[in-house]
Amino acid sequence: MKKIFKFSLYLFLNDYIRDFSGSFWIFFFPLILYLILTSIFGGVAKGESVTFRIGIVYEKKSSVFERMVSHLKEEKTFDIREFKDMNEALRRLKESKLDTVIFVAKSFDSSFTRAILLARTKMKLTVPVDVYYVPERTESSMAKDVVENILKTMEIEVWKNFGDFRNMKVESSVEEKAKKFNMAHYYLPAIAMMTIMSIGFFSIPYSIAEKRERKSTRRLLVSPFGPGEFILSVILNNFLALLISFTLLFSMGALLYKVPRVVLSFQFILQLILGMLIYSMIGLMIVSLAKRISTISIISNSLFQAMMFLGNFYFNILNVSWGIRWFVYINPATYILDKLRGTMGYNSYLSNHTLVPLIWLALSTTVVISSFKRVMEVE
Amino acid sequence: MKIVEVKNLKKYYKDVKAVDGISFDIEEGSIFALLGPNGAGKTTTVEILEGLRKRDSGEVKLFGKVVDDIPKEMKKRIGVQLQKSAFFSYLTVRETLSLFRELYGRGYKVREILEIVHLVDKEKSLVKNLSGGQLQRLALGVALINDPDLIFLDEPTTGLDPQARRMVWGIIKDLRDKGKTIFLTTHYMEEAEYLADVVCIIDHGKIVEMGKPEEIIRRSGLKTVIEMETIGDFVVEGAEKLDDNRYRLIVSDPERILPEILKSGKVSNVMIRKPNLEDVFLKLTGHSLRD
Repeated sequence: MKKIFKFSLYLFLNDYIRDFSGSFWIFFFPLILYLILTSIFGGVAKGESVTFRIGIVYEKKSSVFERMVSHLKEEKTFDIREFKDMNEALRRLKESKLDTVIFVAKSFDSSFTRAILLARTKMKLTVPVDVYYVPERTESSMAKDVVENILKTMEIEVWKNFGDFRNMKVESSVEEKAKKFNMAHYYLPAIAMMTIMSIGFFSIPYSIAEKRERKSTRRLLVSPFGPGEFILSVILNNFLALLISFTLLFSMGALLYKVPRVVLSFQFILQLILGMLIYSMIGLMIVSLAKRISTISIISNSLFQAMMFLGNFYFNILNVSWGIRWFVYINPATYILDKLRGTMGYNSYLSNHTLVPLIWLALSTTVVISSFKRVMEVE
Repeated sequence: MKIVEVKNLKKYYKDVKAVDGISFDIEEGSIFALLGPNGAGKTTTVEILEGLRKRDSGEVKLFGKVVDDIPKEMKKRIGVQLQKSAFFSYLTVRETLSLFRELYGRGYKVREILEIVHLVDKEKSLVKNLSGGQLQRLALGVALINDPDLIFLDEPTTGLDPQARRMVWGIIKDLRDKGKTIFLTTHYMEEAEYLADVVCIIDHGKIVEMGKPEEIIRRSGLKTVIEMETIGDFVVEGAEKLDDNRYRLIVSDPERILPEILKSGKVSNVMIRKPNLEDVFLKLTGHSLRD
């Protein structure tokens, strides 16, 4: 073990400390990207909360709905305006003057009353509320999420008041959720995941393939240092790089954007470790299947881009067509990132966060074990 | 004592017989040179002995024990310089030697190796900044760092200038004088002749001759070699063309042939010398070591 530890330190010195490209992509690029993203999307460079501009159109005045949103109007997180004309509200939504539009049908009050009455019998009745948003706009997607969250909470509240949870207060819960929508906080797990994927798709396979192509690994094989020890050292070296990268990223997040301490919680760190394990094994799988660096480059780049853009990193893509949505659902990054954001208090889109990532871990581990000799080119 | 024993070793790649039933022994404290042209099977042989390749059949004994996969304890007693082995570009010479010493868990102090391979003044240089000769010496240093009893050197001087080559030869001779056993592959006839106690000439995966260099030459029956340059399109009958107008003629009766050649008036720069291993190789295989 001492040998592995020392060897990984030498690798770290070689790959990250003295090679600028290694340190740039893992230590500095995530910080730069984080700064750029938070500055561009949402104007929250000072770490301020986002204000959601919500338009409400009543087909018929609803005292119930008005009472429900009245307390939200006092919050600076929400800029709520009523519109008489639905077309006018939608036009403003299209022109980015609104983030979301809620249409309250005239049957709302009666449906709501009936829902309350039926709640006593544990039967469910849908209360119709239409929410309009622009999926391509991050602010709009997020505003839709907040509204959806409020409506869900209302639903829970109805059930609670007539069920077993009488003592819970819905107002504080809604406000808390809304306040947590901070772009700088929202992007932090995405940047962390991107760094993990960079290690998995680039650092690990490139490091091994380069040493393999230059015959460095053959020199190690004739020493008492075995192939397994070498691979463990490569992983350990990259985990060390990730540890430093996360320290820098979370420190910047805490200093500039007041990122909450939840990023140091057991749940959050556990998800990061799971991500590191999965993507390390995927990296080893790539390097065991492909021999040449050029082939590895094609596979790694393609998977990296696909998993990043179809992993809910920066935009909500869960509403894209099924032609590509299937990939979102088989992408382990989607689940890990959703869980990370869930830990930070954001809405979780998905229910089971472990199945797909564990399938990837099992699959990649099986491939690596079965073609282990190809990793090191042992005959 | 025999340190290496190889019996009927075979390694085929589909239709190519890379190593085709070779057998040899290496005595402790000697330099054994496997001499042959590129593609003769030298590297395949040495890589089987190092444990990098699996043999198809035959038997290999190292330190008196039959080995399939070389155990870690045995690897600690073996030093290896591969034909091509790059080290980590961003480590210094000293760090590279320290790293390998750590992997073997035994051996010389780094400073001692730096002195042996004449790299003391380069100890702080990054590997990526070393010249070809310095890299070869570093590779030799890494092969020696664990103070091995058996050292495999696969073409250790290929690509070096004559001065650097002489320096490496000196190091190899010193190692033999310290009692180390050295297995050397080379396609330089003069290297094998200068260094080796036993030379094994290999071609197309088969041993064509083996023994002490002077014995091999004596057994070949070759007496004299005449090398000359011709003028115009003059052709010397029975001579081997070396390049554009240079020829080599191996004869047993130079006193009869030489006057005839000189009488033609179409030759210049005539050189008469004793035969060497290259000439023996030519006689045995019909082609040059450089072909």
